[in-house]
Amino acid sequence: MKYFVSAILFSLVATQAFGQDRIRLTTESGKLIGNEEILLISAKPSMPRLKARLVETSGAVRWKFVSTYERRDNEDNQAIPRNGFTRLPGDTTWRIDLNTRGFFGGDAAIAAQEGGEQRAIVFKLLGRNPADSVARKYIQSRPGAPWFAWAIAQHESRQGARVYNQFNTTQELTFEPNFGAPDGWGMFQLDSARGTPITTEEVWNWKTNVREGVEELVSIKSEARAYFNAVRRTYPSQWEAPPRFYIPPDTDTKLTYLEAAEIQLYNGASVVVLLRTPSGGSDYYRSCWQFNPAASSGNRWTFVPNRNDYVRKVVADEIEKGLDITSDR
Amino acid sequence: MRHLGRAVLATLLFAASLQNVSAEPDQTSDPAQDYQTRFQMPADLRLDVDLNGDGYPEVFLSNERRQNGRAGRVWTVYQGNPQGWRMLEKPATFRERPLQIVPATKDTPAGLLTFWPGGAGAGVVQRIGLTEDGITEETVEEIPESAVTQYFDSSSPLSIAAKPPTAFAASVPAQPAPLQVVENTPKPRIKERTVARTWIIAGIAVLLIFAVLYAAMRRK
Repeated sequence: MKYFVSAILFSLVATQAFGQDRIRLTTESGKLIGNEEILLISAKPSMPRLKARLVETSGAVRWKFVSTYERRDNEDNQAIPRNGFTRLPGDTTWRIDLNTRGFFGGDAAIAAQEGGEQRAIVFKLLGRNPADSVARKYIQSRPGAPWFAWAIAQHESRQGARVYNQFNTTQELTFEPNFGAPDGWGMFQLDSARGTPITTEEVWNWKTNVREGVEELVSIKSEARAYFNAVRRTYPSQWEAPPRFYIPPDTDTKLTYLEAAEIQLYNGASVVVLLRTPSGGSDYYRSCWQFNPAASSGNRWTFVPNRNDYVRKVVADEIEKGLDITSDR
Repeated sequence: MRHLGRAVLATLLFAASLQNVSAEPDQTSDPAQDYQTRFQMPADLRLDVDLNGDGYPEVFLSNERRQNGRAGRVWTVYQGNPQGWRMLEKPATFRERPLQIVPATKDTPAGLLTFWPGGAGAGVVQRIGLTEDGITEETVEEIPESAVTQYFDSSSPLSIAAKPPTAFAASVPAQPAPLQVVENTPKPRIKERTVARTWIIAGIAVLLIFAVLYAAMRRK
C-alpha cells in the first residue's frame, strides 16, 4: 500500500515540478542540486544527506521526499516521512538523511507545500561504483570467501572492459543498477532464481550485494561436497575418488575438483541426479562431475561443462586474462 | 480340509500376483501426490505439456527449494502414458520465467524454450524436449541478456500447484487444475480397462475357490 501511495504521490509531485527555483536543495557539503540533476550514492557506499529550504516564505511549509523505481516494479519506492508531511516553520531548513532508510534510489522528488501551493524539485538518485581494487579487496575479506570469489563477481558484473559494476557503466541507463535479464542484479548478479526475492539493499548497496554473493558461495561449498558423499553412499562398491585437479580447456589454471564444482554451481550445475540421502531416501544432488559406476576403474568421473561453459569462461576470461586493479573510477 | 486351506491360499496368492504384474516401477496415477510422498515436500509449481506428442501430457513439478543457481529450478518429470504417469529418472532444469512452449511441427516435436544467464551480459537459450531416452536439453543459441525480453513472450505457461505449501495435503485437491497447454487433445486414460481387469481377476478367484470347495466336498 505504501508503495502505491508513494507512486501516486510521486506522479503528483513530478507533474507539478514548477517553482523549483524557490526550493533550494543542497547536499550537506553545500553543493546546489538543480532540477532533473543526477545525485549519486557514493562509492563508499553512503546515501546522500540533503538540505532543503523554501526561499521567500514566512508561513509554515509541509515537506515530503518520494522516490520510485519502475525497473524494479516499484519494489524500492520510498517516502519520507512515510505518511503525511514534515511540517516546519517557513524559513527553516529541512535536513533529509536518506541513510535512515537504508539504500535505495530511482526517480526522486522533494515537494514543499505552502498554503494551497505545491512546489517540487525532481532529480535522479543513482549510484557510483567502487574502485575495482576496493571491490576485490572487500570481496576477498568476507568470511569464508573462496579465493576465486572475486573472479565470479568480475565475470557476473562485466560490461565490456568494465568490471565490478554494481551500477551501469554503459551509455544507456548510466549509474542505474546493473541488471541482467531475467532477474540478475548488481556485482554478483544476485538472482531471484536462487529462491529468495532480490531486496532493495542488494540492488542499491554494493557491499550488501557482495555479502549475499559470498554467502551463497559458502553455502555452495557444502553442497558441492555433499554430492560426492551421496555418490559414495549410492555406489559404495563402485566408488572411487574423483580426479584431484581439473584444468579447463585452453587454460593453465589448476582447480581442485571441488573448486571446479563450486564455480559451476554458482551459475547452475550440468549434472543433477537422484542419489541416496543419509536417511535412506533419495534426493537430487548437483555437480559438474558425472559418475559412471559401470565404467572401468580410473575412468568413472567425467567433468561436464554447463551450457554456458561457465567454469572455463571464469578461468579464461577473469582469472587468467587478469585485470589492472589499479584502475579507479 | 488341510488341502482345501492350501488351495484357497494358493488361489488368493495367484490372484494377487496377477494384480502385481500390471504395476510398473515409478508409475503413478497422481504425480502431485507421488512428488509429495517421494520428496516430503509439496510441489508449488506445475506444468502440463505434451512434449512427445503422444496425446498424454507430461507433468513437470517443482518446489521452491529445488534450485540450480541461475539455471532455475529442478523439475521432476512425469511422463504421461495410457495408465497414468511414470516418473523419469533424469529431472529437467529451467527457469519459470522466461518460459515458452514451442508447438510441435511436422518435423520437430514440441519443446520448452528457456533462458540461462551466463554472466558478462550474455546467456544461452536452451530447448528442453522428450525423446525415448528421456529429457533432452540442447543449446539453441547464445544471446545478450538485453535481447531476452524481445526473444520471449512475457506470459508463462506455469500454474501454481499449491499455495500455501503447508496446506497442500489438507485443502488442495490431489491434482490441482493446471493450465492445459497440450497441442493435441489428450487421450483418455484407460481406467475402465483397469477396473474391468480387477473384476475379471476377482471373478476367476471366486470361481477357483468354488471349484476347490466343490471338489473337496465330492471327495468326502
